[in-house]
Amino acid sequence: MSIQRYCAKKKNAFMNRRDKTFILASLAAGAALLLAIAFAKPGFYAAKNISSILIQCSAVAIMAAGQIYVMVSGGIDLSIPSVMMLSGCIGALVMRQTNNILLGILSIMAVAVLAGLFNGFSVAKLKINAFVATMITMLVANGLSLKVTKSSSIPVPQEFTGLFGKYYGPVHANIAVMILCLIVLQFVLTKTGFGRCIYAIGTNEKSAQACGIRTDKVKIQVFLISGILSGIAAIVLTARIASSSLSLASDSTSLDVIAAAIVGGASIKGGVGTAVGAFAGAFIINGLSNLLVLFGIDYYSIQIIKGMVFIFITYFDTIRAKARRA
Amino acid sequence: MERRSYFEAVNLHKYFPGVHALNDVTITADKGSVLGIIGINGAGKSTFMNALAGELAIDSGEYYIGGEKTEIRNQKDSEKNRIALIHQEAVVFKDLTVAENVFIYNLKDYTKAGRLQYKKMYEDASRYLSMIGAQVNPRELAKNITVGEKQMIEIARALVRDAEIVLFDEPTSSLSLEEKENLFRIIHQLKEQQKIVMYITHFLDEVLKICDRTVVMRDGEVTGDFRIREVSTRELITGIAGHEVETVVNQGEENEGEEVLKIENLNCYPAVKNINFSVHKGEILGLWGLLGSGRTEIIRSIFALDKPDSGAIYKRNKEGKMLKISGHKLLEECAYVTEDRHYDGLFMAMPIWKNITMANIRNFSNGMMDVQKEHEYSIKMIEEMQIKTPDENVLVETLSGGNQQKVIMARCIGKNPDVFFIDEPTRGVDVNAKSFIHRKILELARQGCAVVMVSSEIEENLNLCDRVLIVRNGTITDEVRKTDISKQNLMDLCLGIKEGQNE
Repeated sequence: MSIQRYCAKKKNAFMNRRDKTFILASLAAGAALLLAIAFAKPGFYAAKNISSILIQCSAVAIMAAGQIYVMVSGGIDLSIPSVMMLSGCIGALVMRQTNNILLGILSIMAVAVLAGLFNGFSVAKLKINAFVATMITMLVANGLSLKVTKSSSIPVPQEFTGLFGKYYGPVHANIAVMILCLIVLQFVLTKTGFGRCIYAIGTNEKSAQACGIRTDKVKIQVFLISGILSGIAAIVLTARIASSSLSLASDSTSLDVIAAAIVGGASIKGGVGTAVGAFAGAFIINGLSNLLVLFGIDYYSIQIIKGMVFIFITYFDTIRAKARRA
Repeated sequence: MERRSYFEAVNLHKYFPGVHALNDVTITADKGSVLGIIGINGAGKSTFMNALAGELAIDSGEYYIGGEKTEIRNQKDSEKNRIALIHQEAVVFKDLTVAENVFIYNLKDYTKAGRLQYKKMYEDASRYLSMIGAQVNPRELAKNITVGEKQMIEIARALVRDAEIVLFDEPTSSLSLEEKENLFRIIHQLKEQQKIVMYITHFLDEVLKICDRTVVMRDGEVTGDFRIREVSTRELITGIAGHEVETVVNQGEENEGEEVLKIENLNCYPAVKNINFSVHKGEILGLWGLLGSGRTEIIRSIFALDKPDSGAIYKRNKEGKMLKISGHKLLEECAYVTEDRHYDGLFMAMPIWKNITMANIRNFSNGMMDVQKEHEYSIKMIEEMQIKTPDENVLVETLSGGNQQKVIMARCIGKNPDVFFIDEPTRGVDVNAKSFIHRKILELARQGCAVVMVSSEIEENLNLCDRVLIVRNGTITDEVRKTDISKQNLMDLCLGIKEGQNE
């Protein structure tokens, strides 16, 4: 028995190690990427520049953290960037009409919350596959954004950019909001009973149900959270670029967000991942985009290259999941 | 060295992390004989079968078939050596026809110019199926046939491959009585065709009935090799367990405690029809019926896991009043051990401690999860339930079936429930864990918990229950009091023999 115990312990240690190896591998890939940038453009890593990278990736990091919640619960949310764009545009319009920042922020959050609830309701109550349900939301949000903006760019008031788009001492407001979000989300996900329920559902939804966990409630809450984070990302982004338009989210932002989540340790199959991981993932994905731009590659080629990389990343997720199971 | 038997597996070793799953296993078998392989879960019998079927490769050891040394490293090798495994749960594709399922490995042979020749396939399929006396229409979709018939498909596949060695992995666990008889007839037939049959089972009576010889395995080793004619049941049981095993029997007097749970007019289309019953304090109530009679569905609709169409549930609260309660709320307050721990019981990829506290998260959290308390509690439960594990951080998927079941029991007992629902308390669980779980159930009842139990094993109902409700076609047809519970009685009632009809 003692030998068996020893072996079982070893197996667990081994599996943990293997899982860690994979996470380390993805981080190493990220580090290599950043090194490559350093070689491609010396001076890139000046303190000021690091801070600007962080600012740049803050919106994606916030959205990826929302994505993590959905993915840990075993779902996926394709609509995050589109909801972000829609709420940003509506918020900007409201601010232009009323010149009231508070009303603007409230309308941004209202749109984001509604979209999140809609996703949650479709998935948890109507039992529509998360991929399909959120894709529909994505299309609707894209269409609505086009309608309300009429493809024009809507500037936001100075007070708004002053509030969320400026430096406070050495720290940019975007970074502060991002870090605050990450701390809260990481805490809720890994330390609270609610977080435990999300992991449970992602690991085995049927078992979670039989344990008395109200899986439909939790799923709605999870989509609600990803909606709220879309709204926060919208605030951060519109404040930084001082306007709202259809360019808040590009075609590939949705994939950026998912890829950031997966690089950060989440799995399409659910049950794993952390909010902090999403941050690391967003940082790496953003680094990749930067690198490609630095090499002078045009926008469309970047899309193609990113597509390839995403295939690799999702493949990476499957082998990681296999390792976890073995 | 000369080989005496047609099939010989010599000195097999297989290591899994943590377990020496096969330890110097030598098993031989002759043509035209049925070899039983018995042992508790984790004894190594499934590992042996899977090795033969090429589903896993052994670490060392040799196989001799027909005197020739041979390698079995993957499923191709196994096929080449004409070995076929009949799985415990038949592997069929439910949206394909029976014929397509039978020839699933040989579809190439039935393809002409890229098209499947259905006519020929149907003809051949019915020929193979009639060889084993299976009355299945080869054009039927596999989802419309019974479990027993699905198994026939697997056996037909073995015939198609012209298998010499046919392995059965616990084939009777979900068969009806009739289907069982038919299976035994087929096994007999295979034996007469000079095939080698190897038969894994938990059920000793089956071994005694159909096998010529049996091998007993324990902890990865072969601990006995008996001729069936010369062995007693007692000897086999002792061989399997390594020591004498007591049968746990509920010897309590029939006593009517107060009603704690009452179900009224519960309906859930289509599986559950007009269910009325109540459970009393300290009572073990059995729901007994055939597979597919709606036992599990009744429980699921009580807990609103399948949303009921109508009905009311009343539960006694702490003040002693019977109050109406919703299914979800009931599930929060009660313990529920599900039928299939893999499907809707455990969180396989999570450690034991998270599994143990999962039904009871609120008790371990005051805003924040108290991980320290969770660990301490889990360690206590691991001890109380005698779960064999190095520590509470081990992933549940690495445990044996019996220990996994104990983890679910631990989770439920931790809720300190006054009503306990158990669906198949000991499915796929070894004899030691079984009697332990039985003792636990009795203990719960003695402490005043009302237990509702569904079990496919008639002995479990005989030995444990104070009262048995007969479930047939989704409704409760009879009630049997403790003094009237007998094997014959339960069998007759669930088959509906009194009305002269069969399900």
